[in-house]
Amino acid sequence: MDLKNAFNTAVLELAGIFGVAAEYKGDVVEPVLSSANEVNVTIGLSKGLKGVVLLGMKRTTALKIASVMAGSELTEMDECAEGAISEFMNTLVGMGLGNYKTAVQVDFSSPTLIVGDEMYLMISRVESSRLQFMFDNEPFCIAISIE
Amino acid sequence: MESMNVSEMSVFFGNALKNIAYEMAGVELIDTVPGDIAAERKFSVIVGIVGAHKGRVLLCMGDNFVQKITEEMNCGKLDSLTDTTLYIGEFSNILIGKAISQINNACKTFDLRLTPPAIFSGKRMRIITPELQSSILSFTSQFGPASMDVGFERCR
Repeated sequence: MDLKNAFNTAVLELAGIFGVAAEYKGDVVEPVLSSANEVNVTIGLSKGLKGVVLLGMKRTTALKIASVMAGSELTEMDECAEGAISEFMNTLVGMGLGNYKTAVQVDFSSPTLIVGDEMYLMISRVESSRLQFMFDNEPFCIAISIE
Repeated sequence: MESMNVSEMSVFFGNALKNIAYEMAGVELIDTVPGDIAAERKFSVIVGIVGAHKGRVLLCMGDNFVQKITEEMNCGKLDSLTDTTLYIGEFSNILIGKAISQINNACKTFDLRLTPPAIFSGKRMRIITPELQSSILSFTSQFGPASMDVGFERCR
């Protein structure tokens, strides 16, 4: 399975585990890895693969995911929601790399969470693939940039 | 075995920021006590460090400070947020590269190298990074504040 399909499968599997409806909406290739989402989580890949995985979504989507993970409704991006979203990304990258069968070991860093309004993130000038999903009717994307 | 703690390393980064801001844009930075950057729009740059010690430098700046630096670098106003973002990324790369070179000259076994910068900008922006042993440096200038968080995974 290639990396794009590995992460696509991971998102759908993870949504299934949480009992949330998720739908793959396609992917685009971009010349850089950038984001204008309100909530972003990045994880760096090293050893077998060098690059970055970025999860981007609206605040409302992040709160929905965090609420499912926390088991109670969260209404603001507090420490609990931030921890839940970071853990969601950790699990997602773990599952994505698990699906991606490779002979070499791939390490990944701890997640960095960036939250704000009117955001613009320029993370890498390496080409990226952006996988777009609807997650419980909210847009959600995973961008993968490998050197 | 050569060694240097995080505070000792952070001095190189702080001096590089002060020197480069002055040399490139004539902005004089003065040390101050750590505090939140109150600017409405903030810019942050994260540059990873690899080599004998793994870490990262997180540089945070207010929009007035960034505008002054990037306009001086461009010799004029910049048209887009993308350009401003790329210019401030390059500014950060230059100053962090200078500090890394000085640290490598002082401790040759470190062989520290940089990863390309990741640049973030936004309003009411918060960045939550993994906890590292870090040293925070804060500065003020007539164009607003700037701060630096220098963190390493394992260091004396």
